[in-house]
Amino acid sequence: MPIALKWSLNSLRRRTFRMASAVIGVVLGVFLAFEVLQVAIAVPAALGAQLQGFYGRATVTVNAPNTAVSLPAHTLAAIARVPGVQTMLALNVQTAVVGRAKRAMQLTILGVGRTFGGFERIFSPSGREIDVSGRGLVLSASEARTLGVRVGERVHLVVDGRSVQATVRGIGRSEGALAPLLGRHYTIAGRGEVDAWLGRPPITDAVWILTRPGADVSRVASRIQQEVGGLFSVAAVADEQIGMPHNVNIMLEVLTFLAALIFILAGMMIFYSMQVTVAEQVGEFATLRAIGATKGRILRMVLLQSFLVGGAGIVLGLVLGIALQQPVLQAIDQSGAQGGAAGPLTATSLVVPACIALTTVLLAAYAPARRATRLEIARILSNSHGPLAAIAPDRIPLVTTLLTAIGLIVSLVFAVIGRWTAADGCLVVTLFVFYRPLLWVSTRILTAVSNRFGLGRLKIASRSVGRRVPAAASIGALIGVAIVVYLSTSGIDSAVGNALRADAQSYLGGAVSLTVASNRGVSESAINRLRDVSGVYEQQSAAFDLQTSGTSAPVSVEGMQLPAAGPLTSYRLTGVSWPQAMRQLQADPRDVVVAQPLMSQFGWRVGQAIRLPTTHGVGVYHVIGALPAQPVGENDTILMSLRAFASSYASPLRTYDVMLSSLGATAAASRSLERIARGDHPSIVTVAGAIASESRQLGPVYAVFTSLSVFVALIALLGLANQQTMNVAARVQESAVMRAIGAATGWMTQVQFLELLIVTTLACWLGLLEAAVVARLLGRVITAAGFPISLLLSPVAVAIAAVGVPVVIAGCGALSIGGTFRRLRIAEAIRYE
Amino acid sequence: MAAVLLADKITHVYPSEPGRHILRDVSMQVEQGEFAVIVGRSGSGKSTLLQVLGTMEPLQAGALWLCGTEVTQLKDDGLARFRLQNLGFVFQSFHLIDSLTAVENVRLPMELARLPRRNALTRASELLDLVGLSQRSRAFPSQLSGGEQQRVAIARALANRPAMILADEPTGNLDREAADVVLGVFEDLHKHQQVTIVLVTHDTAICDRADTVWRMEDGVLSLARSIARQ
Repeated sequence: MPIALKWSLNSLRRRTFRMASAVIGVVLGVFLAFEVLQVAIAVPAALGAQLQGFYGRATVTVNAPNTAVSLPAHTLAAIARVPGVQTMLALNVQTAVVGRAKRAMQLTILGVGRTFGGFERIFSPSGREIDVSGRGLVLSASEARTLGVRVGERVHLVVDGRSVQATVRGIGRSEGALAPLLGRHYTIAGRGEVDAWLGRPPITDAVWILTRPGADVSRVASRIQQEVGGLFSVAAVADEQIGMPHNVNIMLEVLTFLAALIFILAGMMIFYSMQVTVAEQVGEFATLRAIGATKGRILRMVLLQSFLVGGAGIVLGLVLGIALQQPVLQAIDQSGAQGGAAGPLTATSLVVPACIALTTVLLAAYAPARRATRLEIARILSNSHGPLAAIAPDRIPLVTTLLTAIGLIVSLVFAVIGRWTAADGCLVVTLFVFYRPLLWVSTRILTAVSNRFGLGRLKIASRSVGRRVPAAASIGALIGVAIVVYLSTSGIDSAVGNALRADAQSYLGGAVSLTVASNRGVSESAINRLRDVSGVYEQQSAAFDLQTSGTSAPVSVEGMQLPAAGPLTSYRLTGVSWPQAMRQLQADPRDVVVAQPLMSQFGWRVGQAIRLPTTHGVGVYHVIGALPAQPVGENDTILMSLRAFASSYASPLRTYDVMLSSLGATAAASRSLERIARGDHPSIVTVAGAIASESRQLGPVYAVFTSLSVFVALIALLGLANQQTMNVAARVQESAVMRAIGAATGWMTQVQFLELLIVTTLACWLGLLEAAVVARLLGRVITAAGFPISLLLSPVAVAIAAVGVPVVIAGCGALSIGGTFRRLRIAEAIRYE
Repeated sequence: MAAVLLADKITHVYPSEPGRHILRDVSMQVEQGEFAVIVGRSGSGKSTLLQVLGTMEPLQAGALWLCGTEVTQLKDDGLARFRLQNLGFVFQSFHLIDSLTAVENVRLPMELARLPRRNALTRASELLDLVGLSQRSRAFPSQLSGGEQQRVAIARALANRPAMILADEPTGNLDREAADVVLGVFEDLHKHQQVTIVLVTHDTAICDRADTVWRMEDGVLSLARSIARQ
């Protein structure tokens, strides 16, 4: 083995804890980056396969360019007759009004769903607020893309045969605060337009056409163009127009954010670790330089160490990523999106995280490596008081001090002129990169204070701290990250919750929604009694129809003619294989396979007995397996045998969204609805809170955030413990000398307590400072995303972090060290070198 | 006989103490195969002189030729390569790499010089044999006594067959017995291998073993004794 490699390995082995922390950081970063890429590949593939199974691949979009003119019924019928056209989906515009128009907002088109309101302020994607006080439209970005219009252009709408013209005032995030969670799109219109449209037929602005498998898409598109004539045109022909489901996007964004955060964290850990390592090895580097090693050789040796750390992290991270790929996709499935099956490993998923990690590692280690090449060889080799002391700065370089001052001044200037984001960013960079002058000033102040008042123990402790500045900064950074992650978790949680409630409130003056599943074929009048429940303001329904398996008979689902259920077998079931499911479904008419979103909505599990409405009342069915997602849309969710279906063992399941008039009515209404479900009307099988369902989707995200926060905090605490252990071990001879000349164990323990207290306090204060700045920045980003939140620690938490944590850690450390001092064999330690 | 080392009017001042001359117009010459000793009290500037001669401390004034090369013409990495090929160092504190075994410490300069691994191993074993440590080749520095560590350091200094060995108080951290062994190694190298040695010490007892003795006082170097060599 080359000596340089062996030297690097031995060096890492002697610093196991420090390097292990860095490796863990790289492992997590690579793991998350790998999962992001694999999910990004697997989900569209799953969706594509799903649609391909049912419809074929190609899609054709037809609309009237730069207008929102409705496609008339006869044109739609003509399109449907074009050979090769499988099915058509009419894209539609849901319209909401600025302000609180309540019912007026329900300009629901094609019966897709309801509209949440509360659009007091509309922002463009760049964060600019759009004025919607006058007449005009604000389109969502996807609508603008579909219609091909830009801001300032006039669009021509035909409403109920009457021509309406409006100016597009803005294209932006018009979905409101809920949209990132719900994935819905709205057109925000001025009050005047909405008043004009109320009660009018919906606008169909585009038609999405899916072709049959094997159809020649160009020919189909050409035929459609002939049918639609001059006003309308084929806007797009594509193999797939499948976007990533919104909640998968959120998941990916969160994973990407986490991966980036962890890479930054890992980079910082490697930077600080290598700084300390280089400081410890400065004697070895000086020796190497003396015997002829060039600067390049030293640089490569240090980088080799970090490369080994990064390499180990990359390998472990990829192994972890591959091992946990399926569980991650299942978690996405459970959040209501189509996670798909674990895809094959791609070169991109393997190479990109590895390259990012390697770049991070080498960049982080470069500055310490450069430092190792710039040694005063003669001074270090002739120094008798140890290599660490030799490199410990007696003064901070002028350039660093100047850069720190410039960073602080620029940050202040930004703050004064109101550019808070720039001010925060500048301050963060200054604190993280040029932390040493600040800590140097702190230790100088402590020393000056102790000199002035002659505090012997404090003086000794504060001088010793000067040598441990990089470690304190490293730990401080970790504490800062832990606080930020914790604040993000609780902050995002409350921000999302607040946004949900605010949206619901603005719609109904205070409401939540409950989902009631029932039988639409039995007792419509009973269902109508839901309205009689106190607090119920309004209800809407959506059908969950049944799908049969193993049959060639088409089943009608919401007006769409589906082909045989055969293609369903292209999806991997959870809990059971397809052949087994087929056998069981045919053998026992009470066995069912349920789509995962419905399972999640009602809290069902594979193997569980569930209650479903039947034509003869509520029947008990047994869930033998789960489909990973809704096979087509939100309609076909339960698979059962044709025999069971035909013999009316079951009837279609229908859910009702019951809007409650106030938040206060929720509990009472829930109880009433449950009573109806259980007793008065057995056809109602279950009641579930829709808001709870939304929150559940974000559960895994919160769990990841919280785990990360705890993990980082633990690493920071372990780092403190490790630092103190190293400190005592490194100074065992000095301690023995102190004992030999008469210092009592208690006195020395007090010195160590003070020293640890100073280091921990510096670390915690630095962490709090960093956290405060980063949290403000993050809070602003989250607010801009539509979730107003202020990420602030409470004064009590700040006090605990600033005073309580250092005192407790220093106390525990001092107790442990006291024991070490008592066990110290003075004569032996003095001989030790 | 060719001069391996030729210093002409070297002057040195530490930037932190601009008024104090550590070296004042130091001139000296060391020839091939010579064993030169520089003696002086602590703080007289002899170690600084060795560092300047060893190109670890930059030359501020004067001229220095080592092995016929004017080293002032060389840049930082050039100096490192020069040291690798032409100079061997022995320090008072040994400065072995703790994480490498004795034989690996000796191999290290050869690896830096890209000597083939097999040749390097053979030579490292020979060198350890030469200093009487062939049985301890796999021991780590922490497992060796001070005298043994210094002998490993001497073996390391010889690794690339340097033109000259510079030793800074090589016996300063050793007891009398270990110091005698180490000096014996130097003497053997000088007598049997014709290695050029420049040794700095405050121990005048070593002077008896040297060809030339230089005395350093307050930065001024003077020739104290010279024995004509054949």
